[in-house]
Amino acid sequence: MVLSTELLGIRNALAEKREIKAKKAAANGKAKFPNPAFFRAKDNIDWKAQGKNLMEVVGICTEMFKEADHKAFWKLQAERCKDDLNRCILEFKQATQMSPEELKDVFLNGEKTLGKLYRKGDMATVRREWKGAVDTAYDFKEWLKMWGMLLMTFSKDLVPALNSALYYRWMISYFCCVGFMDKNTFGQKGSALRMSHLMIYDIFRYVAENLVFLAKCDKKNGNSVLNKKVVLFDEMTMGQIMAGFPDLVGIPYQLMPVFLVSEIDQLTCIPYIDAVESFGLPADTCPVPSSECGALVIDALPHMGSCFISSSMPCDGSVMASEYMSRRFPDLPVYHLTFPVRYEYEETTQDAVEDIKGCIKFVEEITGAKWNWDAYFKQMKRFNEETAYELQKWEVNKTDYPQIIGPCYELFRKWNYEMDGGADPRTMRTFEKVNDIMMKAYERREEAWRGKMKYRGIVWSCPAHYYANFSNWLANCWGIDILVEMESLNFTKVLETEDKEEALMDLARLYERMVMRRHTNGGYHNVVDELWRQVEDWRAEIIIMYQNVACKNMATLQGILDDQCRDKNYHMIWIEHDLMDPRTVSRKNMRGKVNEYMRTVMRAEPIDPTLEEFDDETAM
Amino acid sequence: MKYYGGCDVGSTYTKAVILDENGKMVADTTIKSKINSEASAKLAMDEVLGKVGLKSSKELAYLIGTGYGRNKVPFADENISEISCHAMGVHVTDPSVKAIIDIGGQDVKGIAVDTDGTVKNFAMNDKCAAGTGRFYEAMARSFEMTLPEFSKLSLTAKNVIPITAQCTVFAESEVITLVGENKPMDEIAAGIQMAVAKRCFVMAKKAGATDSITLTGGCAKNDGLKDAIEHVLKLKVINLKTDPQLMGALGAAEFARQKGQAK
Ligand SMILES: Nc1ncnc2c1ncn2[C@@H]1O[C@H](COP(=O)(O)OP(=O)(O)OP(=O)(O)O)[C@@H](O)[C@H]1O
Ligand code: SF4
Ligand SMILES: [Mg+2]
Repeated sequence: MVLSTELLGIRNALAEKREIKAKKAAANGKAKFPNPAFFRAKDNIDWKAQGKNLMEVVGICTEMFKEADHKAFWKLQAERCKDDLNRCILEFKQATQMSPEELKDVFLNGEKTLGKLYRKGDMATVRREWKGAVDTAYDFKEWLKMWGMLLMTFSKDLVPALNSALYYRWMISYFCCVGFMDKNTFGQKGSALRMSHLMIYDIFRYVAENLVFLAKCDKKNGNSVLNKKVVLFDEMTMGQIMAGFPDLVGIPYQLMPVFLVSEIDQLTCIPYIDAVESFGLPADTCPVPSSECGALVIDALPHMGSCFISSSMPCDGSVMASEYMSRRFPDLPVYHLTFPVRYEYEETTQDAVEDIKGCIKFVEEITGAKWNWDAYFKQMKRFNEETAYELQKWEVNKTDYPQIIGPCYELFRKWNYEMDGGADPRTMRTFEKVNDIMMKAYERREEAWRGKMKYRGIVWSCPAHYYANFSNWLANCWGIDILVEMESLNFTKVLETEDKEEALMDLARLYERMVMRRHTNGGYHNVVDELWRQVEDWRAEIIIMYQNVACKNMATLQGILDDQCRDKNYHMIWIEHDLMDPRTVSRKNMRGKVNEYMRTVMRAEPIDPTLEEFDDETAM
Repeated sequence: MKYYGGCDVGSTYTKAVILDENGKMVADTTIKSKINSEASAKLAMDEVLGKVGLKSSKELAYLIGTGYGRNKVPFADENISEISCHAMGVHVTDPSVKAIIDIGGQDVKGIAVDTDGTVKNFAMNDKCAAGTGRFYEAMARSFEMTLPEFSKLSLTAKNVIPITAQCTVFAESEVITLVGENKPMDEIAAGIQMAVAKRCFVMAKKAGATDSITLTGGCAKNDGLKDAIEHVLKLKVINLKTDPQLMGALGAAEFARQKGQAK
C-alpha cells in the first residue's frame, strides 16, 4: 500500500500568505508558537490515492469483522459486565464494612490499594483511581483538558490527521495518551499530582502538534508545501540546532511512530520487530534500531521532510537504521553527526564544533534558510533559564524532602533537554508554575508520595520503554522513590549567548552529552565512577540498575559495577529488560526482581501488597 | 514432639524435609516434580509425614513452602523465596559458608550469605538453560549414559576438548559431531564441564566468592563440575555434609522451626 504523489514543488498561495502574516507578527514581537504558517496551509491532498487507501482500510475492517468470532466477543463482553458488577458490589460491601473514620479517610485521601484496578487481558485499568475528593476532581479536570487540547490541535488540520490515523496503526495508540497520563500519575496526589499534570500536558501538546505536522507533510498524504521547511532528526538527536533556523521546523522523526508510542502502549513495537526479523535481522539485536528498521519495512514511517539529521547516537544501531532509511527513502539527504567518543577531553571539542558547523551548512544548502544568530541566542537564553529551574528541582530532591518524583518528571526532563530545548516559550510558564508549586510544597515539608516515602532511589542505565512508569510502581508498591535518573543528569552549564565562537563550543558540548550517550560514550568512569558520586550526592539507598539484555555497550560494565557496589555496600537491584519488546522480559518479571530483592535482602513488606503480583501483560 | 516442615517445589524435583524441635533432620525425600506444583508438594509431604508417623501436614507445628515462583505450596503456613531458603539451609549445615551457587534443573543462582544466614545479595539466570540440570540431562543422553555416570566421566580426562557453543541446543549438536568424529569421550565431557564452570563465573562473582564457594541444588552432586569449578574459577568447593539438593527444603524447614517456636 504505497501512495505516491510528487507534488512537492507546487506553490500554495494561501500558505504563503499565512507565512507573510506570521513573519509580520514576529517582527512586531507578537510571534505565536508554533508558527501558525505551519498549520492550516491548504494541503495538496491526492484525493484519488486517499480514496484508494480508504477503500483498503474499509476492506481490512470488513474482513476483520467477518473473521471475528462474534459469539466469543459477546461472551467476553458479558463476562466483563458481570465482573464489573461483582466488583461494584464488592467495593460497596467493603465500604459498608468500614468505620466512619475509615470511610472519611478514603473519601478525602483516596483508596489505599491499587492492584485491584488491573484485570487480566484488559488494556486499561477497570476504572480510574479514586485519589480523594479534591484530587479526583482535579484529575478529571485535567483529563478533560487533555482531550480538549488534543481535539483542538487535530482540528487545526483535521483532514490530513484523519487520513494518517487511517493509514498508520501507531497513530491510533495516541488516542490512548490520556491513559498514559493516568498510568504515570497513578498513586500521586496533591502538589505532586499537579506538577505531573502540568509537565505531561506540555509533552502531549508538543506531540499533538508534531503529529499534525507529520500528517501534513507526509507525501503519502498531505504533501503540503510545509515539507520544504521541515528538517528531520533521528529520535536521539537534540533539536537545539534548529534554534538558529526560526523559519524551519525540526521534527524528531522516529519519536512519534516508534520511540514515544512504545512508552504509551507496550505492544506497539512488536509488529516492527517481527517484521524486520522476518526480513532477516538477528533476534538478539537491540530493539531500538530493530523497531526503527521494522517500522520502515512495514511502511509505518511518513515520507516527508527536506533532509534528515542522524547521529552516532546512542550507538552503531543508529547507523543500521540509517541504512534502512536510505533504502526506503532514497530522495532524503542525510547528515550524520559523529561526535568524539571521549568527549570529556576538551581537545576534542573543536572536532565536534566542525561537525556542528557542517550540519548548519548542510541545512542551509538543502533548505535555502540562513542561520540566524539572534534567534539562536534568544532561544538559548530561554533554555538556560529552564536549566536553572531544573537545577532547582535537583536541589530540592537532594534534601530530606524531595518534591518532584515520578515518570512525568523524568519524561519532562528528557523531553525538555532533547526536543524542546527552549524552543517553545509556553514551556517557560510551566517551569515557573511547577517551581512555584514545588517550593511551596517544600516549605510545607510535604510528602511527594503520601505515605510512601521509604527509600531514596536512583536509576542507572537506560529504562525499559514498555515500562515507562516503573518508578511509579516502585513508589506505590515498595515506597522506593526515584529522585533522579542517569539519563536526566546531562549538561547543565549555562550556554554562551553572546560570543559566537564560544556559543558553538557550548552547543557542541551540549550535543556530546545527549540523552543515552553516557552509557555508550565517554569512557567507563562516566558510568561507574559517576554513579558512586551521584549516589552520595543524592544520598540514595537503593540503585535501580537497568540492564537492557540486548545492549552490549552496557554489558561490558556489569562486573565492575557489581564488584565496586559490593565494596561500597550499596543496595543495587539489577532489572533486566528488552527495551521495547516485553515478550523477552515482561513487566511482571521486572517487578519480580524487585519483589525478590526487597523480600530476601531488605526483608521488607510491601506498602501496597496488591501491587506485588498482578497481571498487566496486555495493559497499556 | 513437635515437627516442622519445609517443602521445595523445584522445576524438576520436589524436595521435602522434616525437622524436630532441636533442628535435627528426621525425614527427607526427593521426587520428580509433576506439572501441578500443589500435587507435587502434596506427594512429597505425604511421604515425609509418613516417615515420622504423621497423617497430615496440619499436624506439623509449622510448614513453609518454597520453589520457583510464589505460593508454590498453597497449603503451607507461609511461602518464602527459594533464595532465602537455600541460604538458610546452607547456613545451618555449615555456618562458615559465605557464597553459594545453586544449580537446579533450569536456573542458576549466585547467593551471598550474611553471618546470620540471611541473604546479602543474589543474582539469577533463569533465561537460559545452558549450564543447568536440564543441560546435563541432554548431554548425558547424547553420551547414552546415566547422569551420575556422565558426571564422573570427565575425571579421567588427560586433555580438554573445548566446546565453543554457548547454548544448549548448539552445544548438543557440537557434542554429537565430536562423538561422531570418535574423539575421546572423557575429553569431550571435560570440555562440557569447563564450559559450564566458566558460565558459573558471573554467579560466583555476584555471590561475592573470593577463595571458596559452596554448590547447592542437584548439580552440586556432579563431581566433574566441582572439579572444573576448582580448576577454572580457582575457587575451593566446600562440600556439605548433607545432600546439597535438599538445601532449599532444609532452609524452609529451619525457617518453619524458627517461626513456629517464636509463635
Ligand atoms: N546424582 C546426580 N548427579 C548429577 N546431577 C544430578 C544428580 N541428581 C540430580 N542431578 C541434577 O540436578 C537437577 C535437579 O536439581 P534440583 O532438584 O536442585 O533442581 P530444581 O530445584 O528442581 O530446579 P530449579 O531450582 O531450577 O527450579 C537435575 O536436572 C539433574 O540434572
Ligand atoms: S540500548 Fe545499547 S544497543 Fe540499544 S541503542 Fe542504546 S546503546 Fe545501542
Ligand atoms: Mg531449586
